Amino acid sequence: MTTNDHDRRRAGALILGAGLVSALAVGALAFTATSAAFNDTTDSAGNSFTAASVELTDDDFGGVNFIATGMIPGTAVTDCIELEYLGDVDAVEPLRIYGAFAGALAADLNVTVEHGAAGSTCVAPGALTPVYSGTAAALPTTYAAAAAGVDLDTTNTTAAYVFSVEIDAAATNTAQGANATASFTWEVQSS
Amino acid sequence: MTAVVGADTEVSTAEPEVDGQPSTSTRRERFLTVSRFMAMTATFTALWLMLFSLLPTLIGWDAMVVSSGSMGPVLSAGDVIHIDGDYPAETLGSGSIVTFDGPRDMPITHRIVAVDRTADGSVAFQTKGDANLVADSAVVAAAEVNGVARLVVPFAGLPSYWAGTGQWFKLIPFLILMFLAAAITIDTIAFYVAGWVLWSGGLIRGVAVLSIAMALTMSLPSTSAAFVSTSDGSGSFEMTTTWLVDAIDQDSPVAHWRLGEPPSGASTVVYTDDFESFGGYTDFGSGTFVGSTAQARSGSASGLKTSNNDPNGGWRSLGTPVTGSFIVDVWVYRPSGFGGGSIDRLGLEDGSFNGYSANVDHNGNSMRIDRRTGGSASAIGSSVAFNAPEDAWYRLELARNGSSITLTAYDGGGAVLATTSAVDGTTTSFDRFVVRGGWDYYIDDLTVTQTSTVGTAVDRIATLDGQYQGGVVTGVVDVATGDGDTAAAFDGVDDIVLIGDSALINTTTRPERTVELWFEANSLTGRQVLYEEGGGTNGINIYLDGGVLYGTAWSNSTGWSNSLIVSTGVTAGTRYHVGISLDAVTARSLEMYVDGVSVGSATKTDAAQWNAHTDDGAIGALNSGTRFHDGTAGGGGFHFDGNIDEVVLYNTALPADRILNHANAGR
Repeated sequence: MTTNDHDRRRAGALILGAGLVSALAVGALAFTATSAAFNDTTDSAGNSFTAASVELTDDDFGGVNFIATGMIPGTAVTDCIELEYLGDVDAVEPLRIYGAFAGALAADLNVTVEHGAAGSTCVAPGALTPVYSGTAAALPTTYAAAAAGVDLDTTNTTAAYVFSVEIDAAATNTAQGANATASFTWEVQSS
Repeated sequence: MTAVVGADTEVSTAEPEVDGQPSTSTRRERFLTVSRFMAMTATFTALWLMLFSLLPTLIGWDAMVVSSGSMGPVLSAGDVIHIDGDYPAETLGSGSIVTFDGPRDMPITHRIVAVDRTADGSVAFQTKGDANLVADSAVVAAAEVNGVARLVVPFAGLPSYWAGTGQWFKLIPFLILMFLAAAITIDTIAFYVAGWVLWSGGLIRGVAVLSIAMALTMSLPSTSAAFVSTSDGSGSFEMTTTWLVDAIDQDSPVAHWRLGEPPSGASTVVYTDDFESFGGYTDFGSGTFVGSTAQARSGSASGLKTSNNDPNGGWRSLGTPVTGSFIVDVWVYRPSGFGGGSIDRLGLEDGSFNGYSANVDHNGNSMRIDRRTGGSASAIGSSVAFNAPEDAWYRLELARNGSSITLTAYDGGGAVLATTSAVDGTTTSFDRFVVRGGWDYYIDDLTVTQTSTVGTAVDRIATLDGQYQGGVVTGVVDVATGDGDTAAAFDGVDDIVLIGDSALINTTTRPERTVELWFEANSLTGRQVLYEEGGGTNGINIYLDGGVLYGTAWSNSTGWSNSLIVSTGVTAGTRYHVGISLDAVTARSLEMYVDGVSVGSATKTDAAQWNAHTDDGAIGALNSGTRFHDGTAGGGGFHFDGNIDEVVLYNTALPADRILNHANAGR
């Protein structure tokens, strides 16, 4: 056997070996993943996944942001709520807020939502940027319809959201004693 | 690279081992062999992954690169998934991983966690990233699903993912290593197949092959398994039930007379008679009033007026005289068949037989109030249709409140049968109950009550209480609605609310003042003052003159060249909110608003203050001295005929929006 033949046989063995090893590796990966992805009909609920996350919290601990009684037209009631981004995915879309009002008084309510810059708090909201100003009825009800608000790209970044709700000054006293409820959702999505 | 290949071929003749240890050249050859194996494994792995990524597109599946990790651990950023757009819709359900267009027009791949089927057959899915704590906020309609995930190829999209996210520090070293591995692989294959040693040509071919495959995978679109997190909040809003009062309080009024108090002052029952023990009555003229047991509403007896027509009758002393306001409450029984003089007449009179009496006419089927002058009757107010009961007891109530007199008939159950009213201030003191009229009729259960003419118009802000005089009727009408109380009726004759001087209001020089009130005029005849303070030199007022509403302010002692006068037309029987806002120093103007809308303003050129002004104030009439648009007026008078409600004073010039707010609140 010449040296060349020896080398060529060795090269062939290497090719065959590398081809088999890689095919097995890829096949195993692909089948493992497909099995996990498509045969698992249970919801993994997110809690067990720790590689990366987007998480948002606010300072009302899930409670009511504000209760305003005895409102009169033309005089706004305001409240501040502080949002905090707890995720570790850095590239997130700007926070958006949406919601809906219900009740007889809703037709007479005007709403303004403003936010401070990233890092702002309710104690020091700083300069405020409006994200919504208009009637309660026209408040965006979906993430897609909502305007982009503050960008919270880094974990533990806070932002103050200031709500201002007033009964329209042109309301008549048929609204007297009426009430309304509202629910708001702040949503952050990864980019 | 070429050096490696060349060296490899040159050292392929094995050198003997020395002392059982591999020689340097042998160790080098083994290292190169392992390197070559690893390089080829890497190259083939990459090619397999690309093959898996690209081949399924031949059967119509769409390959996409996962760009985030919210579907972890099932899908990771950099994986390639294959989306089958030609899926049987009915197979989608909880657990399916689907791709749809997200809110930012980027495809999102998430798992269906709930299915919502509506009655009309439409289907929508609630989706969620496995790694997300919350479901996606927007539901996905079945028609919005682009495809269902069929196959995932891990890592195959990493170069694309790195490029898309700018991770060049990973991408560039990876590409260099892969190109080297590809070159080694091509060289080895060429050597095996043909015995060629390609030198640098291997590198070129390796780069070319890998580049094409890489470009194909890099061109795959990406799908975001978007991370989502939400935070919820809520609110509850309730409007006040006393908007008007609350709105007024927002602007710090200095005085607020609500004119909604019930008639105040003590009511005293002066005389009662159940006629069980008849006595004390004196007949006059040729009249006869006697006790009778023929009829009785209670007990067994009543009083019977019989013989001879009006004005003959009987009377008795009340014991305690009644002044100003009173109520006479009595039950009456008229037998049918007494045609002659069939009019029931009774009331209160003084020692000269001056006073007021009810007049219920059973022939004419009408009812009215009579004024008695020396015993003679003359009708006042209007006559109303009333078919009075016969052979049955009915109740009459003759009430005087100041100069307002009302007569009301009730049936046995308390239902109003008829009512009429009149205004007359001729007689103000009464000492006897008088029964006149035609024969025969019975009366029973008589009560005479002294009520109050003078009451307190409470100021709810600073206790600058006013005083009702003349019989202002409170608690019976409403002008401003939504205020939670009633208004006061002024008779246009002698009713007034007097307001004393106060440093909080008028005896202090001020630059600003706003006066607001609600009114509804019964008549627009003549000049009628709604509100005034001050006198001919300094002051402010709101009044009607014919069909014109005036608001004026003046301060001649400071040198104002003229009164500030604003006017507008109004109609009777309409509720109005009027506000006049004086800013003597800054704006130098008086602006008047009707129902919250400006009807004009008057300005002055000087910046002089509005001087202090004594001389008391009043609501519903002139107290003493004022200045109208056409000059000063002394004394009192100019009584308003209608209803007034919620008179408010502010020592500031309220802006238009606040006055509109108040007007809205009361409408």
